[in-house]
Amino acid sequence: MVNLKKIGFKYKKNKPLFNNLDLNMESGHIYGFLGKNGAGKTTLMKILSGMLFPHEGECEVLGFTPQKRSVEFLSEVFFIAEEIYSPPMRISKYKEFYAPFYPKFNASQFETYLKEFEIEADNKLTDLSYGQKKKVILSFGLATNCRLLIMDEPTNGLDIPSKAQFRKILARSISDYQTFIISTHQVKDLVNLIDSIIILENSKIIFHENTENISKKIHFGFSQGINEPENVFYSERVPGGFSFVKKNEEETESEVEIETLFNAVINNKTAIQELFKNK
Amino acid sequence: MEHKLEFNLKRIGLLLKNDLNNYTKPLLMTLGGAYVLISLFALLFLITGDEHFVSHEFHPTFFPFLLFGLGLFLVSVSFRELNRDSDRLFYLSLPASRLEKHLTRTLLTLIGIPLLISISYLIYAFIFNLIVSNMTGNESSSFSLFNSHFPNDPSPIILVTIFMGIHSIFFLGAITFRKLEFFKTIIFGFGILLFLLAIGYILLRILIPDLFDGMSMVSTPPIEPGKGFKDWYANNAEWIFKTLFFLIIPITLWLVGYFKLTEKEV
Repeated sequence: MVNLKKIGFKYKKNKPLFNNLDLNMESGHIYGFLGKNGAGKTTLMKILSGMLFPHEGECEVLGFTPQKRSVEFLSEVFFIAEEIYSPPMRISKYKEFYAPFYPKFNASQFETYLKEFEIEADNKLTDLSYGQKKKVILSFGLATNCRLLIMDEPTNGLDIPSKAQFRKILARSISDYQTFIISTHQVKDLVNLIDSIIILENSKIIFHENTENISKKIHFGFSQGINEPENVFYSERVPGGFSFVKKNEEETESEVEIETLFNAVINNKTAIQELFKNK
Repeated sequence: MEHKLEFNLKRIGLLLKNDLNNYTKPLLMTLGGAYVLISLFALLFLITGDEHFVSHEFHPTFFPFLLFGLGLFLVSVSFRELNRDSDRLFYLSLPASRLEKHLTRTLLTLIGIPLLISISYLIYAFIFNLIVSNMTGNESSSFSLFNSHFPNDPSPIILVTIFMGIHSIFFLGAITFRKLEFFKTIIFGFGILLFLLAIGYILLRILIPDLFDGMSMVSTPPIEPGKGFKDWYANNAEWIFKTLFFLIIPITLWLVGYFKLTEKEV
């Protein structure tokens, strides 16, 4: 589905952002791109969607070369950017004008999502709040039934109930032929949603695993008291004790805590990479 | 990188419909503003007692002003969505080919803008003349697209043709520049023109040394070109300039614009 080989990319006058970057992604999954600011998440998503051109390497997405931006490719990819485009028109008009560009667009699906997000189709896009606009574009993007849906910080601007609604809608929308890529700083918003985690640091993919594998190899726990737990990859103080990440030696699967995992990978990269090398 | 030319009339129709929906209102408002402005000028001339100018010279002055001033300004802002990252991402990721997107904007700016300005000016001139005749009691010169007002002046339809020749320069500027497209295009355009004139002059001086003999640059206007230049222009240069101006330059710049659009990133 996504096949990147030795990708090199740099912004003008800057040092290379990506050098020899390899990445494989398969359909039917929801991938979470995690990383600190400037790690290259948005750039990588733009490369995948054909909005930025790699300077070297091979980039194949859905069997197409994204930078050619062929109509067939564009109609299978929908990019929801952090800053969204909202033309001065009613939502119903937006659908009328842009839906015909997407052959698999499902109007009743769009209406259902809008209803679930409590948005009236009569509203003018420019009159909506940032969060409401985001809900409209999310609904539209999902209703296009594109094979690749890329979302950059999709939960920014959403209120707490809407975030839950977003997770619910996304989880039930994905089909086997589709792939969703979500980039976010607010990792808690992705709980119970993503099934593969990709962590970028300093323009490199330092971690790429599915949640099933993670919960088999890593144990996420909590220890009460004031003493920091020992023999762990990472621990952090939380109210009442410590939350920690360690090797899963008992083979009891625990729920993946994305934020703790992220911090563990960033702080103890080598040990965690070593653990996952031994498959 | 290989470019496959994808062309679909239905998608062109969708893009046109979309652009007309998004830009008709701001376009009409800008045009309306321009007509208010030139009407205020007319009023000023009437107040200052220059009725002759208002009745007979107003249209030959202000139609070219609207066509070349406003019209070319509108051409140079025709790719405004490329200036903002979110709009640019939406536009470039919209499932239509680059040829279709480029062609749609070409049609709207090359044909749509001069057509809109010409038709709206015909209506404006008709109403304007009625009002001025009632106010001054003088019959105003009527405005026609096909007749020039003064014997040596080009007719409005010739001006429209010239607009179409210049269009490609501003169209390329719209794709190339991110801010102040109109002014940057004028500055760069003049720069390139001066450079080409200088090169042309040097080449002509080398190729035909006596070409400018007898040409006086300090005589009273109009400047009287030398016989050599007149003969050379009449025999060779006119069709070269016309072909260059109306065919080669527009097509070349249109192609450059197309490839510039294909290289746009977000």
